[in-house]
Order: sequence, then structure tokens, then C-alpha cells
Amino acid sequence: MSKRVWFDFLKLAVGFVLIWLLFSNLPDYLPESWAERIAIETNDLTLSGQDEEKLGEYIMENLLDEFQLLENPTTDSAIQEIVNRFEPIISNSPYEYNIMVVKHDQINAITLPGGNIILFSGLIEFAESPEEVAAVLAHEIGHVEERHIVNKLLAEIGLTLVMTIVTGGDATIIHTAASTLLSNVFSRSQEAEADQTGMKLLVQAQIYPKALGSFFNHLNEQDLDYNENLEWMMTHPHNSNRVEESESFPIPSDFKPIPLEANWTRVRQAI
Amino acid sequence: MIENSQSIYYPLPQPNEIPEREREDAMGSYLMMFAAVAVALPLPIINLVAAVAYYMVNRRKSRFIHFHTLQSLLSQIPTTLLNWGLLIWAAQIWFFDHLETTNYFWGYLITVGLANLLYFIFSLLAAYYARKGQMYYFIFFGKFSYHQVFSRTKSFKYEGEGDITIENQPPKM
Repeated sequence: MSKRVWFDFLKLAVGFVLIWLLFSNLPDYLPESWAERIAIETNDLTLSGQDEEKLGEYIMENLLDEFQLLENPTTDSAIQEIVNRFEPIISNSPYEYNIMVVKHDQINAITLPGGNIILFSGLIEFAESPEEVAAVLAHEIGHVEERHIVNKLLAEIGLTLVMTIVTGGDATIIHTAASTLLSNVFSRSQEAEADQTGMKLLVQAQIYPKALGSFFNHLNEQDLDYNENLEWMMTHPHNSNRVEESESFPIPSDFKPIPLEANWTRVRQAI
Repeated sequence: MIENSQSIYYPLPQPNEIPEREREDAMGSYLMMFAAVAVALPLPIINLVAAVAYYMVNRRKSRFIHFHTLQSLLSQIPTTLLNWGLLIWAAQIWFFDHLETTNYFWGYLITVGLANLLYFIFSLLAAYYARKGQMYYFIFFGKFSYHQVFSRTKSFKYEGEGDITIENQPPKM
């Protein structure tokens, strides 16, 4: 059979790949006005800062009915020390952060809209150092700053239900939203984005970003990878990559880590 | 290739030589694919199974039918593979990637959609020409099928061909 016949096959295959690449990169070729229009339409699906705050308050009220706040001066001062480190950096953020600790054995942390972050006492007991808790907190702040929480709610329960909550909402819908946030499943790219933002924050707060990798390693050592308690951070099977990323995160030459002073053994015992 | 084709290839049947029944069978190879695709939408394999079955049943009827059924079958293979690729990729996104898609996925989706549309259009055209008793060649698959069916190097027996024992003789004059 003639080579020309096989050349036709080659033309088909190459044509397919070229058209595929063309469509894959089409957004780059769109006129700017089109791209802007698409961006505006996407941004329409976000909330104002005020609405996000209200949303966070309602959901937090709902969650605090289920969890008991941990009121312990030793833990409070340790967490406050971490927050104080972050304070000068996040003070420019549009969010006003509110960090709480609740009594629960789960190794977990929940981030709510409007900058509300709930740490579980189980996580504090599990962490080997205050730096590890700071890394987890920085990661959660990363989710807030990148608006992952609101986007997740909008994607999973929709704008209409979100607006129902903001405008007074009914208890069932608020409970649904709270359950959605409790699952804490973010996409791989969102996790990576929160890691990066969190590690930048750690560096600025003069805490080694390796602390995040250290926390993951600690989880791996305990063979807790697929424990549902850890779903919030163990969503994807790429923790080794995340450990590597934290270890290779670029640190400025003038970086001088300042250890957190909390007596971690005492903090853990106090829980 | 065309200049030498007379010696290498069997002559092509002309529309006035092709019976109605053969034209319909040839056309059927393209049209039955549409019904099979509709049935097979969740799992794009049944259309291929149906095409193989149709080919096996009809290929010995005549060279004209053999050509069209083979062309229809072969041209379905790449679209089926592409559709399978799309299905597997989409399932991976659904189950493992939390619906996170990439531009490459959307590019693939659009390209496979276009490939299916083109395949649909060309299959309709081929069915139309087959019904008229004409040959219709798809890019690559047309030439490939022509070679497989009409080449004199292929020893393929059709119904009514070969193994004919001549018993009736004219009277000796």
C-alpha cells in the first residue's frame, strides 16, 4: 500500500493534536475585551466583604452550638502568641481574623467565611511544636486570603442559598453550609495555593516554612493518611510533594527565624 | 496509484451494475452506527461491536458492500478511542480531581466533539452515496479500505464467486 495512505493517517493525527492544542490555548488568544467580560462574569459570583462577614457569623453560631469553646489560659496564650506573629502581616488584609479553639479530639481545623478559623484541640495535642500549629494556621489563612471558602460554598450550595443565609437565612440552610465547610475538601490547586500563601506568611512572621512539611511528616509517621479526621489536609495523595515544596520553599538570605516561646509540653498537657 | 490500479486492483462496480439490495446494505453500515451510538452513549463501545457484527455478516455479499462496511468500521475505531479517552478523563476529574479541570481537558472535549460531528456528517454523506451505488472515500480510511477490498493480492471469496462447478454446457454444434 502506498506511503501516501499512511501519510493521510499522519495528517489526521497531527491535525487532531494541533486543533486540540489550539482549543486548549484559546483563552490566551482571546481579545482582551472578551477575557475581561469572562472575568467580570466570574466575579459576579462572589460576595462583598460585608456579606462574607455575615455569612461567617451565622455559620459560626451554628457550629458553636455543636462544639464547646476551649477556655484555657495556657492554650489561649500560646495561640495568641502565634496570632501576634501574624498580626502585623495580616493587618493589611480585608479580613478581620478571629481564631478560636474548640474541644474536640479530631485533628482538624475549619475555616469559615470572613476570616473565622476554628482549631480543634485534637490538632493542638497532635502537633509537636507551636511552629506546626502556626503552619496549619497560616495554611488556613491562605484559604481565606485566596477566597477558597466563599468559592467553595458558592460552588456547592449556590449563590441563591448563600444569599438566603446572608439575608437572615433559615437554620437548615445554615446547617447545610456548615456541613459543607466541615468537609473541608478543596481542590488540589487550591491546597497548593493555600500552602504557598501560608508559607509566605510564615517566612514574613519569621517562622520556618518547613514547619508545614514537618506537620505532614508527622501525620505520615503516625500512618494517619487516610483517617477521615485528616481529610482537611490529606485530601490528595500528594503529601510527599507538599513536604518537598515546604522544604524547598525559597527563604530570603536575611531570614532569621524566631522560635515561638510557648512551652508546648505544658500547652498539650493543659488540654 | 490510479494509473497502475487497473492491473493491481479489481475494476470498480458501476452504479448501474449494483443491485438495489447491495446499495441498501452498504448504506446500512453507516446508518446503523447512529442507532448504536445512541444506545452506547454512556459506554462508547457498543457502536464498535455493532459495526464489527455488521461487517462480519455483510462483508461476503459483494466488494461494494465489503468496501463500505469496512470503511464504516475502520473510521469508527479512532472516534471510539477518542470518546473512551474523554470518558476516562472525565471520570478521573469527577472522582479524583474534585471537578477541577484544565484547559487541556476543555480543548480535548471540544476537539473530540468536533471529530464526532465531522464523523457524523461524513457518515451521512457516505450513506447517501452508497445508496446511489457510488464509492465515497474518507481520508485515509477510504484508501485503506479500497486497498483491502479491491486489491488483486487479496484472496477473499464473495457469495457466488469461486468454487463454481460448471455442469451446464451448451450443446455440441
